[in-house]
Amino acid sequence: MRKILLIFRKDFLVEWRSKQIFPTMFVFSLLLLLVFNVAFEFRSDINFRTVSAVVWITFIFSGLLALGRSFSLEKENNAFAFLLLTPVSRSYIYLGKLLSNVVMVLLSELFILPLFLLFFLFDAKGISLSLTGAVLPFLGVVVLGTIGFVSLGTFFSSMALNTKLRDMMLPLLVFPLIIPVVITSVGICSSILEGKPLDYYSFSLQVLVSFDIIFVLLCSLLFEYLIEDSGD
Amino acid sequence: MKKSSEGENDMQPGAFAIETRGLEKQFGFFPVLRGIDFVVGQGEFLTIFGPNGAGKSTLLSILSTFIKPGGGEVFVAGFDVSREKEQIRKLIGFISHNTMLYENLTARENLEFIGAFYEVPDLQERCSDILERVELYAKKDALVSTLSFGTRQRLAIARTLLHDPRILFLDEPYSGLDYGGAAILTSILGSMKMDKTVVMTTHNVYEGLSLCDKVAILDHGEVVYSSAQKPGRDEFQDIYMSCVRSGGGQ
Repeated sequence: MRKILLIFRKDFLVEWRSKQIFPTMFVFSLLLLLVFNVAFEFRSDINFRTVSAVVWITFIFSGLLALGRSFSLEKENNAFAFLLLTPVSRSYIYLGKLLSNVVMVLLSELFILPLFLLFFLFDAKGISLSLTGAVLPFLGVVVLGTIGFVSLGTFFSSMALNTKLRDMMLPLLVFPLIIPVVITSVGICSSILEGKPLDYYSFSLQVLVSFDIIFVLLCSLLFEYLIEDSGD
Repeated sequence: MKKSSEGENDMQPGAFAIETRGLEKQFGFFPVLRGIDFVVGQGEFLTIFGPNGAGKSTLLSILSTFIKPGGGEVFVAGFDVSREKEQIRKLIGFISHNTMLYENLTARENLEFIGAFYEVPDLQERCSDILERVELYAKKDALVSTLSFGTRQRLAIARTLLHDPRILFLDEPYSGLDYGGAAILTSILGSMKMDKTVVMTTHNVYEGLSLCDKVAILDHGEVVYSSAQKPGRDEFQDIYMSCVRSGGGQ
């Protein structure tokens, strides 16, 4: 666990000083939300399923931007290659990178969510944004969905690291695989906004948790094989 | 070759520091190493010369567990590079012309980050000692991005020596170093000569011959010349030119 936290701490220190990922994600998300808002003609009577899809599309697009950049920073000076020389399990390296990516993407999402509320749900009809009924469950789904797509994104961004078309490769590799996470997350968020009880979406929630567990376990086990022969 | 035991953190007793038998590697359809056989005893210093594209960096990458061998057998400190990578990684250090440092971390942070993975005891104290040894203590809190290339290379040397590796792989380590940096590297390598095994690749005959015990010339993925004794500089230059031009012949 200490080694995972070391990678997490290093990534945050590097981001704090370089300020490359977080501001880019935030501005990109803001622009996306603005574009969607204009496209929907500033209406607040859009159905909750569409609103949930908008927020998840925003999270995923901006999240992939961060994931691509996260490993590019490792590639500078080939610092990642030296990390691979140390006697640390590749699974720990993956989990460390995953932790820092999840926290970074979640932080950006936390800044974006109030804007999302302002743009799409400010005067929406039939919505009750109580803390326990909607806000906390919604945030919980955001965390679970983020873990799901970031686990795959972290895995594939390390693979795309050594390809010439890495910026194009990452979405091509990740999008088809995160479809189940996106559909499930959008469905649950929509149900929460509609004020449905937990029983209504509890099965979907279990499916989302299962995806997270499978993706994280599988990616951490396969990471060693993925980065083999990725040295200088 | 003796097998390793679980949890062992030292060289296999009686084993060669490095032993390769029929080592091959190809990238796609392009063969880079074609049947390399050599041994390096514990405490020996081998310099491998060769032109660009000879396969020197690939050879060091395999020995340091960066990449897998394509064929043959490779043992480092008695451990198999294909199956016992973690044991090998604890025992080796790698210095390249590429510094492999994090630009947005300070000199000390770079050392502490890597040192923690090697579980170096008294890490803070060890970092201070090693920074003093490479004459970088005054710049310990400077971001790597603000350091000159020569200074970064000295820091990379410090980071490699942090866990006191038994075997050192040096891939063109003098490349880009200024006179001061080269002198520090030579002095460090000279001081370690007795208790560490070193394999260095270089183009530079002067630097390559100054510290080594034995030499080899690699060309087109084959060892075209090897000698267990250090030849004279003029003599070696003639050998090198004839081997590389003719394309081989022991």
